Amino acid sequence: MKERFIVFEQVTKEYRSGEVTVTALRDVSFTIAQGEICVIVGESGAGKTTLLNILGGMDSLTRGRVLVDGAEVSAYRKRQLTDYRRRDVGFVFQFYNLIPNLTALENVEIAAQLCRDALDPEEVLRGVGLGERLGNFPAQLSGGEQQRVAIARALAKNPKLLLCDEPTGALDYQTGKAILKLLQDTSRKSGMTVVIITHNKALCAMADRVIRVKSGTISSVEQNAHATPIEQIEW
Amino acid sequence: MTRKTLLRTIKATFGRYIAILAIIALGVGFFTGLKSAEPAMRNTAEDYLEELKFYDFQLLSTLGLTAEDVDAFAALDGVTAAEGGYSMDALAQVEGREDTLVLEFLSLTEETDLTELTAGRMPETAAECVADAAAFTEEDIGKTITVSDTNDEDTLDTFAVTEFTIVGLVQSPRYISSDRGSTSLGSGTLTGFVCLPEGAFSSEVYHEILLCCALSGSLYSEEYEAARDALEETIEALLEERGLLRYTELRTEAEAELADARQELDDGWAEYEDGKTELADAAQELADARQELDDGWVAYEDGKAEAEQELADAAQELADARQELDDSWAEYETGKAEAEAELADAAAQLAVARQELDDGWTEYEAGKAEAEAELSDAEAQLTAAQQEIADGLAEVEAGEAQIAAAQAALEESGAELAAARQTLEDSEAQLTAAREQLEEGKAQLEAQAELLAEQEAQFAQEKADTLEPLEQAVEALTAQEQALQAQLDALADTEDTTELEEQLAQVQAQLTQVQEMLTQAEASFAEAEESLAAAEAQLTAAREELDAQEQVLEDSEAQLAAGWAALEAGEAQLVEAQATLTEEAQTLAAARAQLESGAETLAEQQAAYETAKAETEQQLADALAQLEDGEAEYADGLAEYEAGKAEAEAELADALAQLEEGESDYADGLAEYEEGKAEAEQELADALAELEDGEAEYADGLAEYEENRVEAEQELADALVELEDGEADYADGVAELESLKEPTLYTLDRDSNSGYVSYENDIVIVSSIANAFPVFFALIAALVCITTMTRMVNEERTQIGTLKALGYGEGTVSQKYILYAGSAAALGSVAGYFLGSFLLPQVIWMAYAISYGFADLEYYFSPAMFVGGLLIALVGSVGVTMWACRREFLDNPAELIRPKAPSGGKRILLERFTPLWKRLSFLNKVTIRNTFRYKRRMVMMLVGIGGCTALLVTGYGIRDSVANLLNYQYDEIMLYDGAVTLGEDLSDEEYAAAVELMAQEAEQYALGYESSETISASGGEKEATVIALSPEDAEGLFDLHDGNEAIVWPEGGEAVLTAKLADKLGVQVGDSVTVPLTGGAEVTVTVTGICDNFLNHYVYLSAETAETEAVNAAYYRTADDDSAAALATALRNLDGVTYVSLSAEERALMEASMSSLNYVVLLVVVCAGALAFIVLYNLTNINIMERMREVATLKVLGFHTGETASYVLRENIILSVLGGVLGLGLGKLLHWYVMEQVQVDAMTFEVRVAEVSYLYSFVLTVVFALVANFSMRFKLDQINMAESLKSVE
Repeated sequence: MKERFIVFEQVTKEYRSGEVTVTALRDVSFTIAQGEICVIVGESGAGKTTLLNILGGMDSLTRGRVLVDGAEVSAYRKRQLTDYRRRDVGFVFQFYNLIPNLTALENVEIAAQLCRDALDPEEVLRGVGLGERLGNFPAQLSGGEQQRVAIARALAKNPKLLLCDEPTGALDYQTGKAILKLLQDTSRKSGMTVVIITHNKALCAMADRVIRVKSGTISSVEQNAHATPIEQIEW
Repeated sequence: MTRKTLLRTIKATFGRYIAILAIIALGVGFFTGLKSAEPAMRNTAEDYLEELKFYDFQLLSTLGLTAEDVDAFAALDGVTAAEGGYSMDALAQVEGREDTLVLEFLSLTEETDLTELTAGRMPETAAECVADAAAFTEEDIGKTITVSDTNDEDTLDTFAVTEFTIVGLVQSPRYISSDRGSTSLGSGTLTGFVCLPEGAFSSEVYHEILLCCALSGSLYSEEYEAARDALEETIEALLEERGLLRYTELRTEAEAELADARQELDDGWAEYEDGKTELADAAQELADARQELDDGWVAYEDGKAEAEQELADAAQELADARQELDDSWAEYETGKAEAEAELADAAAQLAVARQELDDGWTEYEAGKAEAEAELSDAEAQLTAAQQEIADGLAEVEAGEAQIAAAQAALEESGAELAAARQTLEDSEAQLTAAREQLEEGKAQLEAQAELLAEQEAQFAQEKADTLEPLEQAVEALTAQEQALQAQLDALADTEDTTELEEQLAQVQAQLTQVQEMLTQAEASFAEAEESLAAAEAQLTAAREELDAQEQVLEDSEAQLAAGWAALEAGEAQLVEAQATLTEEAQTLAAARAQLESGAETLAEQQAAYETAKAETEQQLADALAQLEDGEAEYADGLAEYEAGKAEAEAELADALAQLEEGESDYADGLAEYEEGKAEAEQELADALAELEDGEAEYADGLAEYEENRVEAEQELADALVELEDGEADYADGVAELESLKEPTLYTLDRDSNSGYVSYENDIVIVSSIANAFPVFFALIAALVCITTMTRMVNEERTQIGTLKALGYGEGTVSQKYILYAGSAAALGSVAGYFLGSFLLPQVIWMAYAISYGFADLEYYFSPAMFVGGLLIALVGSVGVTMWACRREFLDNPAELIRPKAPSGGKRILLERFTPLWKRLSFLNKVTIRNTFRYKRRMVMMLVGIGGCTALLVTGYGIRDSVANLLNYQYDEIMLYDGAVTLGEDLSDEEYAAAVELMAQEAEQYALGYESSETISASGGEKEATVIALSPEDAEGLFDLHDGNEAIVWPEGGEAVLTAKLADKLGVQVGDSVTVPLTGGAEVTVTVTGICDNFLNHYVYLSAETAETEAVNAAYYRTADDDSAAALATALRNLDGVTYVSLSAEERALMEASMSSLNYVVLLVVVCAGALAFIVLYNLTNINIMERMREVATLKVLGFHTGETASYVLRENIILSVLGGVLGLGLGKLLHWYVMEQVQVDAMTFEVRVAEVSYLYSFVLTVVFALVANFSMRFKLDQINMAESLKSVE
């Protein structure tokens, strides 16, 4: 278990539009250990999404360094970033972002075929409890089921890192809980590092580490020795 | 508010706005551009021809036209101007050019057919000229043109001046196309024209009269043609009248002149004949003298030859005799040498024989001694061997006796061993019995021991059962006692202890009782234990005894085993001894056998020795006999040799004597020959002297004759030349008079001018294209508008819902979209109208400039088209927008505010074919599903791309159809290479010369009749070329067919018509048509076939029908074009050949004028490309917009740029390919439609598109699609991945 699996060092991100420069992140530094569930929590506009974009290799940064598993992601060029996203990162989106024209199984397969040591898509879908719905199109699935497919899609790549952006944002309370449980179980079982971005402070209880973001800076980093099982969290 | 959002929307979706604008501009522009090209071209030509007063009629007469004729026509009603002109084709040299050109020299006219000066100035004197601007350049101004001396006299006579300086360049309305026509001179092609002042011509009569008439109707209109045809009849009648007048005048004049000339000629001839007779007499005398002399010479030569022959024979005889003698000498020498050599050989042979005999004797002696020694050695050896064999036999017999003794001993010891075995088996049986007994005893003992153990266990149990309760009772009681004791002690100071003490006593009593019972029990148990121990001891003793017995038994068993081992060893030894013995016996037997075979061999050897001895003796005896024979032979040989030698010497002596006799005979012959020779030579010398005297006499006479003759002959020759010239002149005069027929008159209207006609044809083609193509663009423009606007309204669905929810009316809401589409349509159609009206006609005009560069294009702007285009564009786009909005308004605002559910995934038909579907990769699967996901877009794409391909197919197809026209006409129908026009007044010699030339040079030729006539039938009239040939001749020169079906050349009274002609005349097979022939005759013939034809109109007749005397044309075929051209040049040089046209040249000319079509095709290709690009760009743009999230998600998943592009663009490629295939079919139809529209009178187009054109069209479409897709890649690159995080809009 690497303690410094993800490292942010003095990361600053500025957006320039015309002459106005907006600083989305300012001197952000933190580390996340391997196998941890980390919740990044903050108000809307606090810079969570920018952080996620940078960590996910979707956006560049203005200053500072980002290291994932020893590799300096912030120094990657475009193609390397694509490969990084392809191999090392699994994404779970708030709105699932499934391809409407592919069945659940095919949605997972399309991700699995991108990397060499991918898991068997059918197995993964069974693992998230969708063994019966392999042939359904997204439009034929409920929100929770779609998010499960999305998680399966991220997991099938067998990534080093699972990034989730408000994974329960579009789901009802019960379904959201089920999804979080799936994420927690996955992390505990396979030792995968999971980063969840949310504005819902209640989720902090389930995390091994909680990073609070406020106005583009880190306001606190807490370690939680006894993460609460999802069933016992209420919000 | 609306304007603000409108402007903002336009800015935000500028690409889309431009796409609508561009497609509408393209549609309107293409429509107006192509539509205005035809009127623009027509107007340009009309104004140009009007300005230069292009003639309406051109009148020609074979007898020329006079100034009075001009006046007569000028006075005619409807004629606004009549002017006489000169026109003469002549060979000419231009300064600075090496080759001789054929130029048409025209006179400058003032009222009609004006020229347009493009450079320099007009001529001021008769020695100046202006030249064709197409054939000459400004650099030629100042150079001189010289009419060649090689032109025929008539031509040269026409010119008053033959050298002209070019002072300017001009264009003539006669030649609006680049084709300058053909001529009977030189190569047959005119290079250009030159205009001269009238004073440069010296001809008495005009060559043509040009008429400008007041005719209504615009250029090429039917109205003009009707008016012209009406006037033409009047003009023709007048021309006929004027021609006849001229003919009569000329004839009278010529007849008088001819009569005078005849008289003069006849006198001259009589004088000439007298002079000729005188000269002939003198010549005869001289000839006689000559004859006499020649006879004398002949006699002398004969005598001389005879004498020489005789002498030569004698010399030959002598030489032969000499030769014979020499041969005999040689023979004698040879014979002598040969005999000597033979003798020497014989002596040598004898010597050799002697030597051989001596050697034989020596050898014989040596052999004899050797043989005797060998025989005695062999005898000694044989004796020794016999001794050896006897010794060996004795040894073997001793060995056999020993073996017999050993065998007896072995059998004895075998018997002993058998006895020992029996003993051992007995004792083994005893031992087994003993062991069984022992085992039984052991088993009994074990049973007893078990019983004992059981008893002991029972006893232990009993003991425990009995003792334990007792002990427990003791313990309990003791405890009770103690307790009581304690209570008692505690209550010691109280009085009431009695009860307790009583209790204690009771307990103590019980305790004592129990203890007693315990003691008793223990005692009884001790006793039982003792008896058990005794039983155990007994058992042990029994066991020990058994063990001792077992030990004894085991010892006996060991002894027995040892005995067995000893027995087996003995047996083994016995077997071994037996084996050794057998082996020895075998060895002995072998030795005996060997010895016996040795004895046999020895006997054989002895026999051999005897034989050899006898043989050797025989051989020695034979050798001796041989040697003695040799000696006898040698003696015979020696005797023979001596006899031969004597004979040879005698023969040689005889031969020598004979030879010497021969030599003396030869010497006598030689002396005789010398005498005869001297005599003959003297005789010959005398005869020669006599002859030479005669020759001298003759020479004197000849000289005298020659002196007078030269003079006389010169006189006669002069007279003859004079007379013949006179005769020729007279003959010419007669011929001229004879050929002075009534003039052939031509009233030519503008349709005879090739430039005028071909321009009309090209206008028709342009207008046909204009009718077909724009429809497509309009259709596609409409489709693009529909998709784009529908998409736009869909995109802003939420906004529409919000506005509606806020209470805005439907009109207000849709206003924005209507304005958006409407403004794009308005701007597009205005831009398209002007761009189209300027650009397209200009491009087409530039394409045609190669053929028609006569003026700058006059643009044509039609307000009707402007308004029409604008209205259609506005109504179409606004209508589409309103329809799209209305569809949205059908939903209520609540539904509108919510985003429309994205079109969900669907299974498609292909997925039913699981094996196939499973093989596809996901990208392919999703591509195929996506392709069918948005039906409207799919249809749009197919129509757009299909339209593009269809346009390309049509463009290429038009070119194919036109290009093939020439191939079909010249390769498949008109198989001849050259067509010859023969003069009407052709003499027999001229005719024969032409026929001979063709017979020599051509592979095939035929003579026939050709004329351009007006054919009439019940259904109408039509101008056509009549060709009459006999069916046999036509074979190989013309191939008449209808599709693949051959049509037989007509027989007498029959005709075959070309398809278009038959169509125009309304004639079918079996109908009859009337064909005029030369000289006003007419025949009515039955149509027996209608054949394919692509250029002009023809009526084919049999020579029989046209009457064979009327030969005026010939057709020939050669091996290749070069020889066809060579033959044409040769034929043109013949008198009587008016004109030769080469198929290859006509074809080249047509090809050049059709090359303009390539530019029109290029125009179509460019427009189709633009169309494809707009359609693809627009649709792909929409596609990407709709799937922005999907694309962003794929990027986040780690799709590389290329993978993302292929994910989205692959369906475009598939649809492009499908559309392309669809377009191929569509193009075929469109091409068919366009070709139906192209109605050019003299041409028939085959409606066919070449395979390669389909290929080009398809490949180009795919290339356009790839380019458009490639440009979309950048758009994909720009999609931000953050889009994937946004919520669904």
